[in-house]
Amino acid sequence: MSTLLILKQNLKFFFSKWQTFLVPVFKFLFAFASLGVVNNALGYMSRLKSLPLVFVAALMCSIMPWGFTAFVAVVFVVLHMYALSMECALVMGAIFLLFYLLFSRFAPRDQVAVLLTPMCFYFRVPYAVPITAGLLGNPGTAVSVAIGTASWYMIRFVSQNEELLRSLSDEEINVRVKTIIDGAVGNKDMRIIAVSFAITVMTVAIIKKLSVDHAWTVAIVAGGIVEILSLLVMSLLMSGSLSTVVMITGTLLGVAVAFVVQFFGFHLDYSRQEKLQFEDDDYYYYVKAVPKMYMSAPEKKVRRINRRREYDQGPDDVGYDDGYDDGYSEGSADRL
Amino acid sequence: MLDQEKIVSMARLSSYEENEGRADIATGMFFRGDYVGLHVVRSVICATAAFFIIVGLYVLYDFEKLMSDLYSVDLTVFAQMLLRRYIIFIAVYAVISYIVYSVKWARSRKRLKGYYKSLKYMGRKYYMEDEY
Repeated sequence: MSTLLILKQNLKFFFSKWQTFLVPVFKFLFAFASLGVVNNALGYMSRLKSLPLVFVAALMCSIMPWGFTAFVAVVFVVLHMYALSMECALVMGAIFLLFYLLFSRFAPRDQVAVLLTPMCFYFRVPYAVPITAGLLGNPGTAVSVAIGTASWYMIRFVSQNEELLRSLSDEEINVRVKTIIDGAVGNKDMRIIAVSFAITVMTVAIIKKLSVDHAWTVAIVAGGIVEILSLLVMSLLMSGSLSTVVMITGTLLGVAVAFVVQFFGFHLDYSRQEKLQFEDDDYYYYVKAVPKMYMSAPEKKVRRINRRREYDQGPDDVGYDDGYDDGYSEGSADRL
Repeated sequence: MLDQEKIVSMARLSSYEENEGRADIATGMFFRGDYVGLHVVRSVICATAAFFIIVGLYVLYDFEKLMSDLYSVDLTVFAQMLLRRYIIFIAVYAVISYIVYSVKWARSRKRLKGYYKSLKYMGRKYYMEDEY
């Protein structure tokens, strides 16, 4: 454990030292990965798949706020869908516009969750999302995670039914829109996962704020149980086709990821907590102070054991003290 | 000699000013009623646009049924039903906006109070140093 704590301290020191450069680099990598996922999952507009374009877009995202990355990804999704079918682009654009108009204004920072959720689906670790999102966000993040889930199922529906959507081009516009909405929004698995994830995010976000010992640990465990139970119950009620084994192993992986997040974000030493009571003119204060788990990195001591024999070079070098403890004293010289 | 406590306080104040302090200072320029009212009006405009998008999607989705019912349905009753739903939608969204922005204003006010308190403390500290 002490090795991990030292590693954590070193990482924190490294990040705080190079933050100015690391944040844009992370933004660039995140944008590059998310645009790559969009291009791989859809990829109907060949121009958008060109590497220089993706590179320049990611480079722009690296110097802009996080929300800009989400905006660029949405533009990519809508343009790819437009290349396949105008109705797809219309429905997808309308869903994103509704999200922006109705929810995103309240919590602009949660736009990252909308982008991160489909990415986790793409990398086949969707069950890791809700617990971590609950820990790092607030109850409102549930809406972003649900929208992200819906977006992924919409993207998946389009990529799996490409031929069907192309063949509908002769039909009337309302038939095409109806097919797309029925196929994407009417997906039972999507509804089960979106609602279960939203419930889990809210549970974790509420419990982690409670003033109890080990609140984050309780929130993670409760989140894991709620996630499995809600997925199972909703799957039974709605006759979903989700695999129980994948569901449970995925949630356990999510719990493991959440514990890693807790280690870096909220690792406290409850054995040294203090409870204080004091008052001023207006209030009476009940304060619980819990120290963070901290271990300073041991200082490195350089010990030279094969010092050059400077005094052999001339009389001026005799007795030269360079300020280092080189372990070469008269006594130790005899041993060497 | 460097005063470590002062450096830490100044760094915290500066960090606050650079990050969430910007939004808080902008919020602090409004009275509660003005701030919440302005955002509720904006929310109503956004909700109206969202309502029209939902209606548009619904029309596209159920176009055939709507067209077949067009001559059998009383258009006045249909318009009233649509208006009723619009009012309910806007009212619910406005209430949610009111609660969210009231909480936001209160939280930002609390943070600003702490910020000004720290500034006052720093001012007093500098004054004491000048005195002695």
